[in-house]
Amino acid sequence: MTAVAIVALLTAGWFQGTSATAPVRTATIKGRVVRADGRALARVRVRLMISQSGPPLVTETDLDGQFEFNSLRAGTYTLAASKPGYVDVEFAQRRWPGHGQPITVAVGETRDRVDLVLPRTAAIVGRVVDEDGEPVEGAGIAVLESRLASGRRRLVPVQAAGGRTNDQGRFRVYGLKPGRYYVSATVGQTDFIPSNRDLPGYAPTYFPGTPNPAEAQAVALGLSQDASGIDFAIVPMRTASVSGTAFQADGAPVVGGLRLVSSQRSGLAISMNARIDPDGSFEFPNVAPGEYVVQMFKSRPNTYTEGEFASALVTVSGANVTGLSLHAAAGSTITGRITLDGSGTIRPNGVELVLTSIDADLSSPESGATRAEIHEDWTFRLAGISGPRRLRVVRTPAGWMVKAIFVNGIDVTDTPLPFGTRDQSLSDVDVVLTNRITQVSGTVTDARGDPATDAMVVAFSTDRDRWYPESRFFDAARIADGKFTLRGLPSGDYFVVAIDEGSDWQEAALLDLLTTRATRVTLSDGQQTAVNLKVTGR
Amino acid sequence: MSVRAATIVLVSAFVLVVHAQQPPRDAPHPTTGSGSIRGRVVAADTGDALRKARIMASAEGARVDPVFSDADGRFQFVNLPAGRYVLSAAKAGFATTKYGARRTLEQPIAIDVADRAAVDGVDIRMPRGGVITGRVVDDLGDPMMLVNVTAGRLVRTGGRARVVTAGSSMTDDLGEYRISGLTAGSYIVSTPGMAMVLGAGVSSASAPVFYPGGASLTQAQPVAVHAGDEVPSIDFTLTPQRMPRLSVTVTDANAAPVSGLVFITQLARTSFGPIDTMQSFGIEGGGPTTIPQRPGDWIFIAQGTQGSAIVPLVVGSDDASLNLVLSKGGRLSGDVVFEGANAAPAGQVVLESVIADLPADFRAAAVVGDMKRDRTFEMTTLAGPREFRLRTAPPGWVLKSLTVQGRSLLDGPVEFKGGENLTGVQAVLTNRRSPLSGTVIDRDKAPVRVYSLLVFPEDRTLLRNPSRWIRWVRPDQNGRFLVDDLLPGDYLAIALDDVDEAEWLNADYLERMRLRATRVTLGTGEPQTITLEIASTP
Repeated sequence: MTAVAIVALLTAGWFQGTSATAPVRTATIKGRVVRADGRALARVRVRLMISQSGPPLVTETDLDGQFEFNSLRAGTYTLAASKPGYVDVEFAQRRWPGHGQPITVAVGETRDRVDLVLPRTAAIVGRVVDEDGEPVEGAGIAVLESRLASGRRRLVPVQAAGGRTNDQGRFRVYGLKPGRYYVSATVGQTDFIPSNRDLPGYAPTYFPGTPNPAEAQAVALGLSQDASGIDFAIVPMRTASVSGTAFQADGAPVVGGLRLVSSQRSGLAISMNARIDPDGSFEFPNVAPGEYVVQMFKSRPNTYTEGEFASALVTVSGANVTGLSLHAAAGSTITGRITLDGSGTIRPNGVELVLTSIDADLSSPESGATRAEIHEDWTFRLAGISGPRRLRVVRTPAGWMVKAIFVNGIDVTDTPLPFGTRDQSLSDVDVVLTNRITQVSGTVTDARGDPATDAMVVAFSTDRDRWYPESRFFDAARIADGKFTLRGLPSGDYFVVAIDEGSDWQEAALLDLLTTRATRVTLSDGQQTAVNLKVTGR
Repeated sequence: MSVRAATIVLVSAFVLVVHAQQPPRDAPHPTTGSGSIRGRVVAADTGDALRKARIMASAEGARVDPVFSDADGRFQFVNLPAGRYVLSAAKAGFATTKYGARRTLEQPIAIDVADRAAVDGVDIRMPRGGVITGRVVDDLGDPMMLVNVTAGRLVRTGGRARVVTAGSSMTDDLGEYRISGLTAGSYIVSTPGMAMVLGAGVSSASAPVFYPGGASLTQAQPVAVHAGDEVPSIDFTLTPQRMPRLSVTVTDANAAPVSGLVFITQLARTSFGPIDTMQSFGIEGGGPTTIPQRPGDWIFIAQGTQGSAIVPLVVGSDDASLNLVLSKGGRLSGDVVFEGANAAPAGQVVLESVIADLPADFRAAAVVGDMKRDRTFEMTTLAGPREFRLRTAPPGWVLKSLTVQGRSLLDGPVEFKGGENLTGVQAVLTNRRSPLSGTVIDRDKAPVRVYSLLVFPEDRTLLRNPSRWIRWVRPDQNGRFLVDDLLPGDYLAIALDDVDEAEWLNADYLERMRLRATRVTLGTGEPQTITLEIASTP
């Protein structure tokens, strides 16, 4: 028996066409999903997507691992399979991270043997004890990756990978893809009950037993390879409490949204919630020595307005820190207009204007950028803004790019601007778009001279002062059929180079390395240029 | 008819409801006084000191931070306000133990701390914890991850059997779970099964399973656990099946589709963990909308601008349909009377109506009535089977009665079908506690220090609302008992060696005590002291 996809009925606007005018739906894609050992894998969720947007068609494999999508329009599809406990795989994917190959079907065509192998995810297994070798129950276990965050290399928790030690001190963190990981254990914090103090006197400890993240030892996981024996002892250290009072912008005591996080200036990855009293006093118990920031924030009321915010940098070194005083600011307002340099019939909804953060300690930790509300008359508005920021146009209609951003006639295109108070509000911001856009395009070949796959092309300014997070002097493009195109880089001198997909390439040390094998390109306003690149590996 | 498809959002709605319905609960301020408690934590079997055990002290109106035992097992609480404290200790490998309680559900022995009193020698003896482990697989033998397994004690309340959760664990990627820290005894081990929405039109679910494999509590076979024992291989096989589909429509009283978004919460009436028992979604324009629905015994709560509806529905393996008829609901209004007080005491009075027969923590669709300046209150939008209780009151005041034309609204659920208008409701609050205290002697008039006291109403009809009228208390460290939260009335009191924690809230169990019990009348507002002779175990 073969499972057949049932076209979605749940989401508005997605109906299977049945009228005479509907395009012909006669193509079929079918195949089989197996384990690494070749045995059939049942109940695998198989998704078929015709484009990035829109809901995928979904089906499930039968007991023989077979799946089939029929009544398809001709076109190019991507196909992916997933099952809890297994690594998500796209059709013909060979690397992790990476991408598979698209599947193209013609009218009436049946594409058979679209087969996939699902490898199991890997796990890290170990045990946490105290200084006397007794098991520690309930220690929070985080699996971390060394990642570039806000321009610094830090240990960042892997999403949805974590857990707690059991009564024997044992942990098993599973669902991991191949990679290099770090493991930390934390006691003294109970996630769900912030008002509860827990065992004091231990530093967050990294495998193989150090409080210093720089001394943490990486655990390398191959595909479907478990790492066991990740046993370590938590390190006793004098912990202290951090306390104070916090008030909202309207003067009322804080009720929530108060956390202590390790400062961007440190290499730690700690985040804890406060215990808060009705009068606005708060306390974070059991804080190990380190550099932190206390952040008070509210969620954003809409996409163009940030919630109120306050922060205080704190250094803890064993003694209690008391008397912190936080008063949230309602933030600054930014208004202005978008001007078009050149003629064309583009509409404001094709433009996305955001604020990037210069210092994550001093801006709201809410995920996702704040996007300007752009009106039909090209005026725009941002509100509730706090912290040092840059204005950045991240999306333009095809054929347009940003030329410059002015405040009261002064060019601030790449200048950090301070926000937080009403005085720091801006009301005369002019964002100029031009249709004279730059373009760098070309071909990429591998060592044998064939069109490259599983690689991407990056371009970065030759000026190191332009190397900061979310710089517009950085750009990257995926390679399709051995070709790439980068559009809309500002004029200037660039290095262009092909590298492996999925790497953290925007790190200064890596960029320095890349300069040695990159091709140098000079772009003037509106210039279009071509380069041919070779994949040389990292 | 236009089909306006719904937006389906399956969420862990526990969080959602807590946020949406529950005002932030004021944590009591840290309290300080002049009393202290000192003692040791030791292993019950060897008498060895237990270090780093976490000890909590709780008393009415006091918030005390937990402490940890030192290397000799010693602990101390200082600066305690006067009160009767319950102490509990937790430690990896041992069963969480309340001072003086020999079993999980036995009432503890209270520690009575007077002003400036130092209570020493409070030794907490912790039995070693029992462990239940096992594996959850599907019908093909593949491990099932993220399935919750719970171990609970079977108890009867008001004649109805239910399971009180004692521990739970989530399966890992090998399908393995481990429930630890159990006290010796018999446990019902069960899993609510799993539900997975793979995407539009494809979903599967498995029904709840009670070990060794039955579908209902009556088929459950208890698992015996001894102190320190690990009971392995308590395995489950779940059979994922196509999830039945439920067609939901929302209409007004005239059977016309409603406009706008209607928010629907559904709660399981069988008791598992909160994550498995609640889900939510929205319906736009009245539907009909078809959703994948987990089998089970559910209560649906719909809330929209045109009113609300509360409908129970048992979903089996077949597709089903559900029509929710929104109504403005019933209305109830009346006065608050403060018994024996000329002026209303300072502070808020808030009455609350919750859906009957649901766990007390769920406040979905709760309706509140705030007392106004003129001591009147009003509740609207009352729908479904309802229970009434006091949410907030000035310190020391309790709800004595809530009546309409002499009929009590407190003893059993009140059904609202919409359109009811109950006026002249009287809510009587009293601060006249009639504390009953005393001591217990044996047949030779020698004092008994450790015993149980049961107090229950003489009027058998009141046993329908056991939590309001029945008390089981144990003495303090000096052998004195205190019952101070019962409403005025005629009661029977009996001192026993032990009480069956699974049976004491049932009329048949209390009936056996009736002849040997002593009659006590509460309600004078004066403290009463009595001496009881311990009854031999029947």
